[in-house]
Amino acid sequence: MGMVQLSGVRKFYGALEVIKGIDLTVEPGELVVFVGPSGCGKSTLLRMIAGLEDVDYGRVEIASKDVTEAPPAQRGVAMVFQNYALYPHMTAFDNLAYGLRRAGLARNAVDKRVQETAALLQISDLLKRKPKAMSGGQRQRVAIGRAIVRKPEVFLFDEPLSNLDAALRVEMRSQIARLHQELAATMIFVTHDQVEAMTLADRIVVLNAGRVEQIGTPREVYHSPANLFVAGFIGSPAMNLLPATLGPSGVALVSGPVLGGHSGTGEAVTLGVRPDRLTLTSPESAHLSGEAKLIEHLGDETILHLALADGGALTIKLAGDVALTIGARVHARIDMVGASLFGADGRAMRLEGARETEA
Amino acid sequence: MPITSAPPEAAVLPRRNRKAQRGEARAGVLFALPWIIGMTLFVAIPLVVTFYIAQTKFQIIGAPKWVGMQNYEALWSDPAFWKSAQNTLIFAAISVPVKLIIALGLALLLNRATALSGFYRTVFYLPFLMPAVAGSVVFMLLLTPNAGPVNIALEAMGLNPPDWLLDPKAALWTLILLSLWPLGVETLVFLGGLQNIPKDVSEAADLDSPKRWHKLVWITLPLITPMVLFNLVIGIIYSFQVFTQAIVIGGTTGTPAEATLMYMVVLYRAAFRYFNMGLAAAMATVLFVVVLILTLLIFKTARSWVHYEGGET
Amino acid sequence: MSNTTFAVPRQISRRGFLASSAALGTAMVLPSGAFAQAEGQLLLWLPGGSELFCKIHTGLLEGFSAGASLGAATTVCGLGQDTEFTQSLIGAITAGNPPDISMLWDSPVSLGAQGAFMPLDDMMKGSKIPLETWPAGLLSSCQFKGVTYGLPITAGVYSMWYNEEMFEAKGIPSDRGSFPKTWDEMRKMSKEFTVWDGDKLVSAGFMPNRVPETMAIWSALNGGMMFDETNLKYQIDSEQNIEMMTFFLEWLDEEYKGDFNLVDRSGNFLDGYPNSTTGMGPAFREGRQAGMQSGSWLLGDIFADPVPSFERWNLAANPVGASGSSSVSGTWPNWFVIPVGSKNPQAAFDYLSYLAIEGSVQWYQQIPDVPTNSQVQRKAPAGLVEKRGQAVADDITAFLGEQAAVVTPMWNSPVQSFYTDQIARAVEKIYTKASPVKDALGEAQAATQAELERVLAG
Repeated sequence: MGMVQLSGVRKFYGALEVIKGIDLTVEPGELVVFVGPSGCGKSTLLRMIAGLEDVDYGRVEIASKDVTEAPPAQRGVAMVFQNYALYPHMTAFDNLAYGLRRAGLARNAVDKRVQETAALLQISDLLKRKPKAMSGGQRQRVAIGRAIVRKPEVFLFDEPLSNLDAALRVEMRSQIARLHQELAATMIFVTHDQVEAMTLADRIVVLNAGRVEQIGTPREVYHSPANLFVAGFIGSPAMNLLPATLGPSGVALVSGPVLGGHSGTGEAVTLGVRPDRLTLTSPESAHLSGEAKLIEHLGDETILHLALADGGALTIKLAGDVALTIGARVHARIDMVGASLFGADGRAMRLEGARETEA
Repeated sequence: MPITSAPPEAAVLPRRNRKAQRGEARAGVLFALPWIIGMTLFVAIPLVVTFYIAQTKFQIIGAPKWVGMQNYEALWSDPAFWKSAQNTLIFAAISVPVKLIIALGLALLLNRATALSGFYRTVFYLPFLMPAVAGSVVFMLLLTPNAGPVNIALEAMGLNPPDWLLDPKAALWTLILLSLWPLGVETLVFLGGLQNIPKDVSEAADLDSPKRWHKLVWITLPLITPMVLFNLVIGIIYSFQVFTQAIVIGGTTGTPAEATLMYMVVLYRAAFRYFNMGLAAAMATVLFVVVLILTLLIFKTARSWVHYEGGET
Repeated sequence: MSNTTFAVPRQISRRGFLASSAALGTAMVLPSGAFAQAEGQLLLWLPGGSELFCKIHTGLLEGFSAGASLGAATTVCGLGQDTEFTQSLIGAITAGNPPDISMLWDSPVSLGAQGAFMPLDDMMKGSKIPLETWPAGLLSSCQFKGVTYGLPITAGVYSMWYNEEMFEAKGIPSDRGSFPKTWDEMRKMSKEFTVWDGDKLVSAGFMPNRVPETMAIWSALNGGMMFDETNLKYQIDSEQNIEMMTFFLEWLDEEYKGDFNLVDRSGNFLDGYPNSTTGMGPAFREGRQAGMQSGSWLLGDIFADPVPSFERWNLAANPVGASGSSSVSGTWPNWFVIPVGSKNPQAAFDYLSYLAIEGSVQWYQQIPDVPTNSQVQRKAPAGLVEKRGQAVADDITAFLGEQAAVVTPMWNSPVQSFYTDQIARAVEKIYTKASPVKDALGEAQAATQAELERVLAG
């Protein structure tokens, strides 16, 4: 299985630079997810790896071969598209067989490979149908089958699940995870859905405006976001980002309370706290207080949206079904374990003694 | 309202639907009415009248007189009928496929997104707006054997160009050559088909094989078969009716030596030069039947080679 | 005189002629007055022509209407050319709303025989223009089975045109009286002028005829005829006609390498006009052709662009074939008809009488279409006087008058167009050697005779 290496990759649309110099190595057998908001360049980057977009600067290597100028079909990649991109005039069988036949594989070999792949994906009974006669999920499995059947070095997935309904998406997600395990294949997966990213990825690449914001395992990205962007982007509901100053005795929130750890000389910082790291408390021991503006009862958890006195907002995720009404005065306490601190430049600072949570 | 035991909503609901459908049907008919009237007035009635006139002696002035199959018999023994039918068949058999291939090639070129593709599309369509008569006259001037720019250029290249429209052996082929212009409409139809191919399908094909002709033959062509069918049928219908270029170039006698004598020219001269409407109507009827049969045959075979996007489930 | 003064389209080759009229179903924009026919007001349709042509006819009709105390007259110039015009006219006649008078550039016999035009014989009796004031050969172009369906008010007259300067350069007498009297003399003299440079014809004498419309004149010059109107029999493959075409073919082979294509590649040796399809200039005007047969319309146009490379040209009688006895001439008339359904037939006829005698003189003054009625006092066209002087202009006018009196019957068949196309086909087959003279003429004869009988039957 192939390694993918990008070095200094840049892409322009006219004068607009959409990929601003990316270095990345995807290890053999690894599943890397590109995640980021719309327009961040994640699909473009994937298509540059596939060879569907030209690379203006830098190089792309797949399995240690420079493929920067190679046509898509000679890069050893297979791609699964968002809209499946099945050949509408061909049966599922022909869709799978097309690439093999064009590569000059013998008829028997083609049959064998297609049947094997179909069995793996449980689409054997679909092989005689044309795409029109299949459901979205079936089409996506055929599309994946078309990628697998060619035994590529690298699989590329371009938001393959976004057209499926929620239940099917979960099912396909686990199927892709299973395939990754079984094939031990190198995969690059593009999504804007962070749940997909978190559940599938060996490593996540967070992209924003054509740049890599962070590369790391899902846990690293979640727990130690490298900067404000990653902090705000990864996690749902999003991390609370509270303005603060770094005083000699610790992090001082604008509203007054001072939290321990990390001392400084009064520079402005941002304290990042995951909603589940806030607990309800009494007014006396509260770090923050606000009015409940919106309460989302999700059954096993409750999400509170508070309006703080200073005009800021705060989201709290509580386990279980918490009985509260809109307009209630709510008092919250921050658990500094897992909290993040970002400097004025937006970069994460190491939070020393974050466990000593008392002022 | 009938009294039933069903809850009122259940009784009302289907009734409302029916009403809506009736209203829709009425509106549908109304919207189609101008077309239906037009079809009846300008297609159906003239068609029936043509069938009738074909069996009469009708010299334009005065009343048609019933003569039965006489006009068809006259056609059968008229050398101009056979000569023009032969010319027209050769013309169609070569002009249509060649035209389709060139138009497809142009469409493939135009389909590449370049800064100038909009400009080229207009340029290729423009000739279609030029009157056929004017276009033909321009080509006749260009192809003048001695002083014509084409032959001057060819001779300068050391070639020995033909007399084009003056040589009986070359004239029909020249006419076929001229029929390849303009290509705007065919090209636009193909281009529409090409642009209808989803980008990702085309990219999937790029990923499957590095050879361009693979994609053309196995993916692109099958996906634009509806446009091929359309262009083919329209092309056949039009080429069987080739007229303006032929009469401008060959006159009513198909100069030189009947090499450019086309079916429609013979039909036209029978009707408006010899005032033999009966014979002209018989020719029109024969043409109608032949084109109808050809079109039906093509449609019948089309099921096996045309891919319709909305097709079989 | 401007180069647009000539009205009749026959100076254009048959091909170019069709070019302008070909598009079947071309939307015709009819002027609003075209159908507004009313009693006491004359409505005239013209098939086309230049602005001057239109102006002359509008003026003539208005002047006549005013003098005859008629209401406002309407002249519709150019409803589309040739066949398209004919279609409009037939449409108006069948709809019962035709013009009172129409000019035609095609023989009125075909449509007259079908009953489209009013017979004029009764009105002509006792009028200013009785039958006997018309040259018989010319009037026959409007007559079928003794009925007159129109009047050839003016006509282009066919005669031989020659370049006096080229004649003199070879030491050949250039006066009209010395012009060859027979085909043999003409063919012999022709060789003097014909020069080939490889396959290019540099200059030529005369050419064997290949214009289908004038083949009837050459047939008559050889003592034959194409159509025997009395017996309703075509004679296309008669001995005289076979002899004629054989003579032409031998001449072509002997002097012109047997290939008109070579001739046509070298220039326009067909008529006196720039070729509308090849764009080549007329060899006669370029001083590369000693002589040719042409209609008198060239009198006006010869001074138009391209201006001749020489000053002195002259006209002479058509020479006679081996089996012929005397010279004849031919015409392409401007016919006038009164369509069936005219609301003012008598006023229309009165206008034709006026046009035939007085109007045509004014017409000829400005556009050299020769007035044909024997009572006309012709005056030389002003343009010709200006260019060649009064004496020459008068001489030519007198000569054309003489020629108009010896016109051979042509345009007299109810299947005229069919006949013309058949002749064109036969001539092409003969000259390209696709078929022997006898067979080609025989085929044309059989087809044309069959068409004639079909039309006449029932």
